[in-house]
Amino acid sequence: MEDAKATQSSDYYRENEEKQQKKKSKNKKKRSGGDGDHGVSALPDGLVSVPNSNDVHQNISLKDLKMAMEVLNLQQKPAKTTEEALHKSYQFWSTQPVPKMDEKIMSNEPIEPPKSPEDIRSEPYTLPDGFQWDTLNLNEPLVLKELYTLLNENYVEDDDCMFRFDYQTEFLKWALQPPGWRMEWHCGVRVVKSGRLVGFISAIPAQLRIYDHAQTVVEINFLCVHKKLRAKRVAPVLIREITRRVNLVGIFQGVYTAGIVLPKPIATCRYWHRSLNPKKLIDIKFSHLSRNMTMQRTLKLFKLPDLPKTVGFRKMEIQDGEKVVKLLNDYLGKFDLAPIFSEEDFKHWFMPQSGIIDSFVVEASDGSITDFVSYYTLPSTVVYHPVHKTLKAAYSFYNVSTKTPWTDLMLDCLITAKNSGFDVFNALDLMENKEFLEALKFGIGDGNLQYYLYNWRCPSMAPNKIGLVLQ
Amino acid sequence: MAEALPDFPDSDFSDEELSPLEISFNKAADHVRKLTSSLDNNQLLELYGLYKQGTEGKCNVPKPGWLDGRGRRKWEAWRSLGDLPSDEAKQKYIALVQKYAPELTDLSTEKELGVKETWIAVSSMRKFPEPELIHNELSILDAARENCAERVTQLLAEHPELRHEKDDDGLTALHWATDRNATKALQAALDGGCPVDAADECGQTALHYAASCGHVESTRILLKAGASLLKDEDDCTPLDLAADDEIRKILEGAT
Repeated sequence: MEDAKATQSSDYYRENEEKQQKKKSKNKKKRSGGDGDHGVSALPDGLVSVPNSNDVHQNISLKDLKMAMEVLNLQQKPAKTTEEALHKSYQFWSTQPVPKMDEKIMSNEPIEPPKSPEDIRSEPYTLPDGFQWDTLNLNEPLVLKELYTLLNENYVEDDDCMFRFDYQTEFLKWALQPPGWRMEWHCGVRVVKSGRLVGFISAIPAQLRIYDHAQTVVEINFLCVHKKLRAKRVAPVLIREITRRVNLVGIFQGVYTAGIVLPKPIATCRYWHRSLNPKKLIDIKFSHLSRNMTMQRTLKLFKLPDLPKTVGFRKMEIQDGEKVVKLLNDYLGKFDLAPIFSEEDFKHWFMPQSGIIDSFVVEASDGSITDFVSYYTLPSTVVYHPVHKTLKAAYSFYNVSTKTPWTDLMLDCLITAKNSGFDVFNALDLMENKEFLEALKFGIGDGNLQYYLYNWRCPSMAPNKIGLVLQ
Repeated sequence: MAEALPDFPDSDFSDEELSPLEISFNKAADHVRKLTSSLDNNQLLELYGLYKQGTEGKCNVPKPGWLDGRGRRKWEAWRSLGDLPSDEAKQKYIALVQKYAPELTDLSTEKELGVKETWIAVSSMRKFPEPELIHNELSILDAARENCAERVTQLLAEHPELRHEKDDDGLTALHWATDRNATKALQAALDGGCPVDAADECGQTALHYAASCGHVESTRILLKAGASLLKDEDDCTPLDLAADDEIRKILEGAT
């Protein structure tokens, strides 16, 4: 009985796999046992050599079921490349003011005009039965902790992943409560019955320059739906609801980033990683030793000097704010997409806070500030490792070099990160980062970061024209 | 809101989800079919018992009839595990598969090449694919690196001159095993007669490698095999290169 079933489903499996290949699907994620070697080999005495034939077959049928479901769901899988995205239909995004994937854009303008107040829905969008909206008061430690837990357990969707972001509570306050923040933009979804927090989306205000146009926007971030709720399509409701709440104060443009391709990226950036603690990174499989490379040479390769060497390099202090915000805003003029910081914004985003944000400047002998580096702290949970539970990662934020060469400046920056106990220093290939990535032994990452604008159309940009970093 | 915090009832949801242990267990089980030709019946029976205990718990079926010799042996393998908790059985199963297949390192996840496809993912270093290794064709240096102790033993027995085999950088089997903290292969190489103080092109012995990489167990094994604290071309002894205090202490204890 079971054998027959297994054979059938096995065939079904292969058939589907063939179909999939014909579709030239790029979902090449290797499925266990998908390489057709389901044959159960027998040993000389006839002892079946796989755990047990029945077990294997049971395994197969379960997998086949899963596989069959996945074939059905293929259309709904996120696209990871632009090419793939062009062939997908976007049920939700086609209803939104975003450019179409194949749209050729020459202008720099809103897609739809601002709504008049009477055209903005005054009631929240309807949630599936059993769920309700709840605006989160992050000044309430218990609520903040709930958000922390939701993000920690669900923000990274991939159940197979080895690392999950572990946004710390104080980091979340830093990221979600900059000058001008609004509580109603910390938008939660709870289960009515239990009160459990199962969804979240946030907006924070920002001034953004898109080419030569300055625009008040919101940065949308931390869209998160509990993994057991994903089938209910809550994410689109969250996006509609935050849009409504933002529209109510007269803002109609947004900026956001994602790992997947949606209509339509304005830029595609790539993460690069600089090993600071190579042995641990290899141990937890964040990075990999190629066969002909030794650990001994690897450790030597990534060794850093004990202390920064640029004269005048020091931690940024509160009285530097006025000078550095000017230095930074002037510098960001180089890019096609960049924030415009007020002095208040700058203090919020860049004044060093232990475990959240580090900033350093180079002070010249005449007291002027010539260079600036900053990075934020975002650890990841190492999902399954007997020894290491946490990966301590620094993320390059905003850097300015006007006098110190990029490689000298960022080398000193790496040294401070190493000395603070970070395992890895991450940077996107945006702004002028390509000036130092390879020279300072960053390795290319496996994650793209797509940049998007909401209700804005403009020509796309090369990574080195992007001057915006989100959390 | 506060009372909602501890232990949410999961009754709001229906789906099951796999724990990291289950994911690793499933991957280990998938890998077994690639290993079968290299395992003997006792090894397979042990795996079988742990598999059943891991998936179904305590043996709960009657013993097969005496005509079914194969079935009886399998049943006994399962039955012998008694009340072993299923999670422990899974862990043992995974450990056993890893022992038989040291090259199987990616048990916890399957890394995708290229680009991660989810809305939000933690980027990690991109992995560049390398050709698969064929276990029983490994060279002495490969076998040392991959911690294939049996292959090391076999090669050294058949070709004693391989004790002195070096790669272009002067690394011997001992260097490679030490570099990866491949302790089983290291022990096998020492037992097979590899000279413990062989130096690479830079004058570094395996003990230099163990010390600079911070491999505690390899350091101990090498010292026990009589390794000396020699100087390399930069005039550094293993002690000078010690990665941390633990290594330093072990090395100082040896001098």
